Amino acid sequence: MEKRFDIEKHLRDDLELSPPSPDFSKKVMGAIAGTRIAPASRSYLNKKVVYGTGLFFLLLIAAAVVYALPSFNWSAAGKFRLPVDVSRLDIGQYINRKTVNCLLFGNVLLGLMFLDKYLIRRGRAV
Amino acid sequence: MHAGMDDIEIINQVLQGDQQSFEELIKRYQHFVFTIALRYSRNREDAEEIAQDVFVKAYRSLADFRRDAKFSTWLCTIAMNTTKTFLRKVKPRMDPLDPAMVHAQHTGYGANPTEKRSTQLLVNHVIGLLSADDATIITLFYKAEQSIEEIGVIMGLTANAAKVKLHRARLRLKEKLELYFADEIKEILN
Repeated sequence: MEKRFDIEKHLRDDLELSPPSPDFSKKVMGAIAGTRIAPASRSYLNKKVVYGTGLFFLLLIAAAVVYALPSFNWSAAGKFRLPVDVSRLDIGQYINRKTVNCLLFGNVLLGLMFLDKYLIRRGRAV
Repeated sequence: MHAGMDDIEIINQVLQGDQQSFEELIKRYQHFVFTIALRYSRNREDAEEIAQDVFVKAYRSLADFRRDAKFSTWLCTIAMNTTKTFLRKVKPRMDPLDPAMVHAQHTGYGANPTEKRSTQLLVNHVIGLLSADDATIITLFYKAEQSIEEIGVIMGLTANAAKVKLHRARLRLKEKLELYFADEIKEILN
């Protein structure tokens, strides 16, 4: 019976790993001697802040879409009519200087909260 | 001192401030990390630099290691990313068309392969002829004891893609063995 070169067996038994230089572990230990373990990212990344920021931007996009809808020329789309008369909606009355200022203020507030958390964590780590 | 301890116990010691315990993790995995780096860089100096960088990164981010995966999988993922980043910055110092040379120098499987016919040297020599991706996936599966799913995580592939890639790498290895070393294989079998 003809013998076969069993590649699976030889890969399991004969495959070798290459060793680094003998003093490799000492070199690495030397390199990490002055290094500190960074705090786990989950400890300084507040999920509420992340979700809050995400929600804020989603609302911003949604507001922009809603604002753009009334200015859209629906007649170009053919005879299809929406059950609601969108052209009568006046979103502009809600989006004014005051609303924009409020949104900006909320954004700055979120940024300051994040900075505050970051500085507290950094202070603890040092 | 750490011989009977598993990776998680050692990691806990390191996280509690015992920096010296990290040396045990280096000793356990330096061969894997260095081999992965060497498969891609084809140069021992670069591979050692990459491997050192991998362990320094792993040490710094040890608190971020989530215990839902094996430490070796996490480390190999860092090794793959670090190697690819390194190669993007630095051109390989060796001609990529001559991949077997480095491995041949290291293993002692020299210019005249007929002189040494052990299967071990033969297999390791042919691995050096494969592409870096093929050689790495074979190393991860057969030596680093990584499952198909874990290899997928390390190489940024789906489990199915990793399975197909491993299968094809094995086929290419077999083809190269049959193409270049048919006589040696016959002699080994006889």
